[in-house]
Amino acid sequence: MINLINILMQIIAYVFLITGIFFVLSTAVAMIRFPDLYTRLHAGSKCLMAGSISVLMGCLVLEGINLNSLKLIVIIIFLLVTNSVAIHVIASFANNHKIKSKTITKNDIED
Amino acid sequence: MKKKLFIFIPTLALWFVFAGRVNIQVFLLGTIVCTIISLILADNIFRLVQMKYGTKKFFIKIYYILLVVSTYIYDVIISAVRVSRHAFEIKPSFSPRVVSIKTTHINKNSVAILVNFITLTQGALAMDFDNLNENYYIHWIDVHSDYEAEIKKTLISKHEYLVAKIFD
Repeated sequence: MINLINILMQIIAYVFLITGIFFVLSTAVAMIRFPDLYTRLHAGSKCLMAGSISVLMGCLVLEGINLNSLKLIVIIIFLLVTNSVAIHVIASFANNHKIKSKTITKNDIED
Repeated sequence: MKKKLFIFIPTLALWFVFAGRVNIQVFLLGTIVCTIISLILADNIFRLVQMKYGTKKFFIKIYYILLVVSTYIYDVIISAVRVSRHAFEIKPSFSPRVVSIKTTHINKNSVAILVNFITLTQGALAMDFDNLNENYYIHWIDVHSDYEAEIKKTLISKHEYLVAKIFD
C-alpha cells in the first residue's frame, strides 16, 4: 500500500515536472517568435510563471513534508508576487516611453 | 519601533527557514541583516496599511486572500496554455488590443494589487493606470472582436470584486 502511494506521488511529481518544462520551453520559443515587447512580456509573465510553479510543485511533491518543502512554498509565494510586479513595471515603463506595439489592432490610449 | 519589530520578526523567521538550522552563527548574522532590512523598509511598507478590522474580519480576509491566490494560480495555468499554443503555431494567430477599463475601486491598495496581478489573468497585461479618470489600460493578446473584449472585461470585474473583498 505504501509502495503504491509512493509510485502515485512520483507519477504526480513527474507530471508536474514535465508540464513545467513544457511551459518554460514555450517561454523560450515565444521570446524568439513573438513580434514585439508586449507580446513577449505575455510569455515572460504567464508561461514562465506557470512553468516555474509547476516545476516547484513537482519538487514539493517529491520532497514530501519537511523544511525543504517549506522553503519551496516560500519561493512560490515570492515568485507569484515579484514576477507580476516586475512585468507590470516593464510594461508601464515601455508605455510611458511610447514604445509601440507592432501588431496592435486597436488602441484605446490613442483613441 | 512597533513597525520595525513587525518587519524584524517575520524576516528573521524567514532567515531561519532558508538557513535550515538554528544556531548562534545563523542567529547573529540573521539579526544583523534583518535589523538593516527593518530599518530601511519599516516606514515604506506600512505607509498604506489601515488597521480598521476586528479579529473576526481578519480571518475572513485570510479566506479571501487564499481564494484570490488560488484564482490567480488557476488563471495563470489557463493563460499559459493559450500563450504557449500561440508560441508553437506555424503562424501565430493572436490579435493584440489595448483596452481601457474603468475601475470601481476606491481604495488605493486594491488598485495597486489589481494593476499588478492583472498580469496573471487570461491574456491580459496591465500597461498603465490613469489616476485622473480611474482607468486601467490593459494589453490583451487575444481579442478578435468587441464582443470578446466585453467578455474579458467581465472576467476582470470578477477579479476586481475578489480584490475589493480583501481591502474594502
